[in-house]
Amino acid sequence: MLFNSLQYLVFLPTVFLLFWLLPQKARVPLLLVASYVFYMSWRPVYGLLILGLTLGNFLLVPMIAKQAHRKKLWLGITIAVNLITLGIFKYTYFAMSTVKDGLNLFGVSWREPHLHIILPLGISFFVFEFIHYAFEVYRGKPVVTSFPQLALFASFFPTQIAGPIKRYQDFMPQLNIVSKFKWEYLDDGMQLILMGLAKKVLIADNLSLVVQAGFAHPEAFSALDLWLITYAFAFQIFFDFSGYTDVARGSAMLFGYKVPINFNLPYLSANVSDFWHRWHISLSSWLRDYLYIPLGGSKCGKWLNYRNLFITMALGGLWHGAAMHFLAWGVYQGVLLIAHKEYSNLLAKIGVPAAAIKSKLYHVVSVIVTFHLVCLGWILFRADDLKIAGQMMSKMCQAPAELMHFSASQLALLEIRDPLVFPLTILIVPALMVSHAVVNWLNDKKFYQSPPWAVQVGVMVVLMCLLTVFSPDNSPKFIYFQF
Amino acid sequence: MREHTPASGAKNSVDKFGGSGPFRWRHLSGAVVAFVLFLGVNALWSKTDFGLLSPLDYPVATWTGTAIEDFFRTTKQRPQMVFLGSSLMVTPLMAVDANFLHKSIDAPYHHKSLFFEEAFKRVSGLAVRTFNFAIPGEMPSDAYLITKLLLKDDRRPDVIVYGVGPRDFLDNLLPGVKSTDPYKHLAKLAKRDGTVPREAQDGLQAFNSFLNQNVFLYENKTDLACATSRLVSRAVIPHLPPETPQQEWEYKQMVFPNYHEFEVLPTACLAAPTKPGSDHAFHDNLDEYRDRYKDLKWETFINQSNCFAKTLATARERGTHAVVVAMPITDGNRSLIPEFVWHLYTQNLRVLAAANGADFIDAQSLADFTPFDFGDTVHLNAKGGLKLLNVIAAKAAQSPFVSAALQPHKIGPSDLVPSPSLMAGVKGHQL
Repeated sequence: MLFNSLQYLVFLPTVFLLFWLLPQKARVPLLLVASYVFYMSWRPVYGLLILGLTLGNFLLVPMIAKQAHRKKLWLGITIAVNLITLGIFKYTYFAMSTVKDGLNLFGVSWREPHLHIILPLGISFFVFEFIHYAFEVYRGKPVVTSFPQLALFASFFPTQIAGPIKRYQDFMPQLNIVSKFKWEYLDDGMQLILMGLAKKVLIADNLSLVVQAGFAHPEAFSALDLWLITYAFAFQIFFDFSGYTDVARGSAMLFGYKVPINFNLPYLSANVSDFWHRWHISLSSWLRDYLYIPLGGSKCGKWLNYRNLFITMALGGLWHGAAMHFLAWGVYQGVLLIAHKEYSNLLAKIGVPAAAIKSKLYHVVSVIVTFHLVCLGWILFRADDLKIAGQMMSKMCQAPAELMHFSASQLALLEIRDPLVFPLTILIVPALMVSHAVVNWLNDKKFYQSPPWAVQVGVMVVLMCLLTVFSPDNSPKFIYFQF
Repeated sequence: MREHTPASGAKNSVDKFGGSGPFRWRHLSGAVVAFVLFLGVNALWSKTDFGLLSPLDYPVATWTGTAIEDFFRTTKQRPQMVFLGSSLMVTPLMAVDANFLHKSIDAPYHHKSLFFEEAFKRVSGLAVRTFNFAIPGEMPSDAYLITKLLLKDDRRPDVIVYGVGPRDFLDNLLPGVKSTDPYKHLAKLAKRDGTVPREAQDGLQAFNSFLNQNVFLYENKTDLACATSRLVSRAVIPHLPPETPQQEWEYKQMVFPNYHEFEVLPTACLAAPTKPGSDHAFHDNLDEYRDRYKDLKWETFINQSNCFAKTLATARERGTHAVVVAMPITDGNRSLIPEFVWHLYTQNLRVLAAANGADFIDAQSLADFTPFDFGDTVHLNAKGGLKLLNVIAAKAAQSPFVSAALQPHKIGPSDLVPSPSLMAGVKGHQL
């Protein structure tokens, strides 16, 4: 069930009304049933997968707490069960094709079997939530004794398919709190849902047309076009995923629950490290806490620290998808983070004045450079394979030459009259960047903490009208559904 | 246990809800007020036609759109014979005319059969003006809407020639009668006329229909989105670089295929002339039809049969004579249909044609169609199309009802003696 579907428009209000009409003790079971209905509406049999994993973790994790002298072993077993499940469903084909390619290098021909495995929606997210739970219990946090509550933690429908990746110590206490309905839940929830849908339907879906065209046929576009297309993808993925997160947070808010934020104006980051504190925050903090730190983090020598960064980001790339281009994207991010550390060290070594580094000009240049580095990474992320990514990047290198002899006719993208978003791309993309800055300014002014009531209502009415008119009958899926 | 307050919004709750300001409305829920205002906007907007397109205006060019445009604006005189049907009818008409005219035909923009006009004149001595309202994917429900809403008054034809195939009644791949191009084009006229075809609905479809009937912006979202788009286009296009050849059909298809459902632009569907014996290679589409015929959906069969009957009945009421043509298909395609379903289909056609006073031509049995007459397992090529049109022309020329419809002043109804019908009490005519 998609958030931007008619089913959800029926499903969510129904669950919302039932939730607040039922007594407190019936609410967790209700949400659990609703979450399984939500999940099984896609492929009913995979309800058994999430149920089985929940049962496995419910039985295994208490062993970590009970058997203090063997808790490492039980942690290992629990993580192995989760990762093997993830591996079977997500990485089997990738592993087989990699083996096949490797054998081909040695002249050995092998025909891999076709196993008919379909990637279960959201598996990467709920497996990470289980691993986090096991780790936290290993670190001394309490065990969840209620099976329905653990089941709801993993299957909670607002965050089930594409996060944010929750922390059980934040989520579980909310289930035990006796809450009464407050209009704030509805108001805040609706605002987030409408804003999220607007990001997805009005912005991301339109940009996806430009992106799809460019990445499918890079040969048909000039270097300048390809830059525009890359910028368009940067904003498409941001608005798509942050829109999803807003709807997820808003949906949870309707029940009085709070789930973590995932984005904080990532394209205003002044360096790559800053970017990873602002982009997909629930994943990057998960990678930090359960991969980077266990590997040794930064509390080891310089080279070991770089190794840890590299491994963390490479595996983070592979988490996004079982394909070489995702791995390459992760490796690229790891290299960027290492390069940033080296660059910071260099600045300190040559004694660049702090005032210069803190100047507005330096900050603006840093933001622009970081944005472009991130955009280059998005090419690896979005391209169907490394060949297309390479083709695009090599063509994009010709942009300076094209700029020297610029004419409007070089921008074939703008000449596609229909749909309208094509000719407007050159205006839309900078406008989205400016919107980042405006939102940042409003944040500084604390506008979002206390927007005038009339403004809230006005924005909601306008969004309801726009979404009703401009939502397509078949909106594309959210990008992060595939992970 | 303690009272739960969500972190977001909690710290502002006093500002938003508990303030002691002079206005009581500050205590109202913003979401509820916004929803009520949204309904108010809908109610107010529904009193105007602001942003709405005219009933036959459609956001993108589709095959139905070009046919309607041609029917009302380009064709100066009322057509006397109108062809109805799906691609089974379109393909032979276009392929034969391409050979007849010795030039490629841009099929979505060619709405007549010049060869048929010639062939019919040859065998009957009568000159007729034809119009082709056969459209790829056209179902009997679409043919009914076209007949009911368009083939009337000063545009009423004397004869309709309706070519049908088993797919028209059995298609498993059709999501519903409202999913076709002709329906989408004619929906507004149909609603105004009260002729929306009945359709089985699941819960979600029923909810969708409810929204369509009660939320003005939802019902008219296509119009409003299109009007906005056109408005912005007018502002933007003068500032864009001139169009280049790259913007031709192939380029648009390449960069965003299937963006607009059913969109068809010039040169998208060309029918090229062929030489005898050099028809295009045979395309085996049995797999596609295996899916189409997979199950007999009674709902679809009955629904489409009703529409088929209503098409013939509507034509008859208006004095338009109908000629039903059971289109030929290959033996391979025929073998995909279970015997009882085939029997049901053929009997149904005969009975409904007879019951509604239509002539019935079983093309398969009247011409010696071979596999070389087909471009795939259902569509005739130019060679097969030639046979088909000659058969229709010959049989129509023999029909006194066709002659009477075309020359009402020469032959009166009393001159017509009905052929023995297939069912007692109905006036059907097996040609």
